[in-house]
Amino acid sequence: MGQSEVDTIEESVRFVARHYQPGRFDSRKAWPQMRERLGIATERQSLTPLWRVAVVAIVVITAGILYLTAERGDTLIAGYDHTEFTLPDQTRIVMQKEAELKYEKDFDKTERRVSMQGEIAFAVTRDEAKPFIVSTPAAQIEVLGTEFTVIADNVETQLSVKSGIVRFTPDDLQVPLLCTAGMTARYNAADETIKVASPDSEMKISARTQSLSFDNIALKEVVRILSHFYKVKIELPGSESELTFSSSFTQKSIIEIIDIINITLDSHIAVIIP
Amino acid sequence: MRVLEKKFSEYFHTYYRQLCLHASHFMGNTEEAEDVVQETFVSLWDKREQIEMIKSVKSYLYTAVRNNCLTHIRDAKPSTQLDTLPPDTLLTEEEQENRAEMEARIWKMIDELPERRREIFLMAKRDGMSYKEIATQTGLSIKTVENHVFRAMQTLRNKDIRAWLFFFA
Repeated sequence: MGQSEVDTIEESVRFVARHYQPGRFDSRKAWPQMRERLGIATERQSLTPLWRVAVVAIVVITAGILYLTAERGDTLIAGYDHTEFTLPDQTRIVMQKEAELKYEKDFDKTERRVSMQGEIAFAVTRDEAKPFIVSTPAAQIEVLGTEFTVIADNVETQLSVKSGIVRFTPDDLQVPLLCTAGMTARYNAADETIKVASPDSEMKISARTQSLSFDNIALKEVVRILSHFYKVKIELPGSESELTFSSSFTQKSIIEIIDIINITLDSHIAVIIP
Repeated sequence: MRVLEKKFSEYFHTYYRQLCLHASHFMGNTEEAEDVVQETFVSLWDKREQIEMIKSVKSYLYTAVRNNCLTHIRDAKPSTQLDTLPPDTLLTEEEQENRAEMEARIWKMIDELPERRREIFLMAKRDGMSYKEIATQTGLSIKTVENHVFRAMQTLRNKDIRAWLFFFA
């Protein structure tokens, strides 16, 4: 160890000694006040079983995964972080501790459907004939073949897409959102709000407060969202589909919104009257 | 706890102490240093939806703490020219981060020392007392005092001190 290194350590030791007090700078002590200050709730969330498994044929504990096989299908529960597993269709998943994944016996027949809770990263094998569907307590996530991570509990589901395109539909909102690489979508069923963010744009929809906010979103996506949310057909000139829009609306009618967009962007979108 | 709250609390517990030490290099006293760090976490919470977008939350926190310290200092004494402050800018940001991490490990080591050894260690390193003075004060022999300090420094060296040294090599 060189002299200058010894000196630097010595300097740091003295610095720390000067400021040292038992119990000071302790995050465990500071956390309760911080939590209160930020208004974070304290109740524990426990994972509830997604199915009641009537008959458990085999219970196998292999390398940190609790693997339950029953007549209806299989359940995996991860005992550790970064637990890897390969599904029958060769899709690879990485589960974090306490994550659960279930699939039925007919997985990979006409479609590939799984249900889950906790945090799981997926690398889905491409199969255009059979969509891969992830069902969480609050949302459905449909993919063709792509990489993404889902974190879900009873009330909230979050999707982050690494590659490919993933369709994310919150159960209560029935607005399908298309998420591409680099995007994150989060839906909270308690306040009925979905937020979609990418490095340069953001969108927030709240069913409860009837508000929508767009920050740098392409007009064609805005129009798609509005048509699902308000259940109308909206036409949009092709030349205007890539215009970007930033604004928010609370409790406005679809007509008002369309007027505002057209004025703002000098566009020509219109509701199609059947 | 919601997903974000869980992630946020992980960041809080991981970086809290080292950020407090980092802030202590700028602020006059430890209460103010701790206040700045807590305020910085509050503003990180305000940005929590974008947490995923931040490439390095750690760098963000270090930079924000430093900036908030400087703002505090300037606001307390508006006439202060920030250039005339004792510079902690001799170190790069990365070096500052490594230093604070090192200091957090030293802190933990001191916490874990047996009480007697800690008392003696602090007398030597904090109060600058000589082994002779400590011996007189505690009634121990100089050799014993020397031993205690040596053992404490040994504990420190045995923990991952080498990783930090790498950056200063």
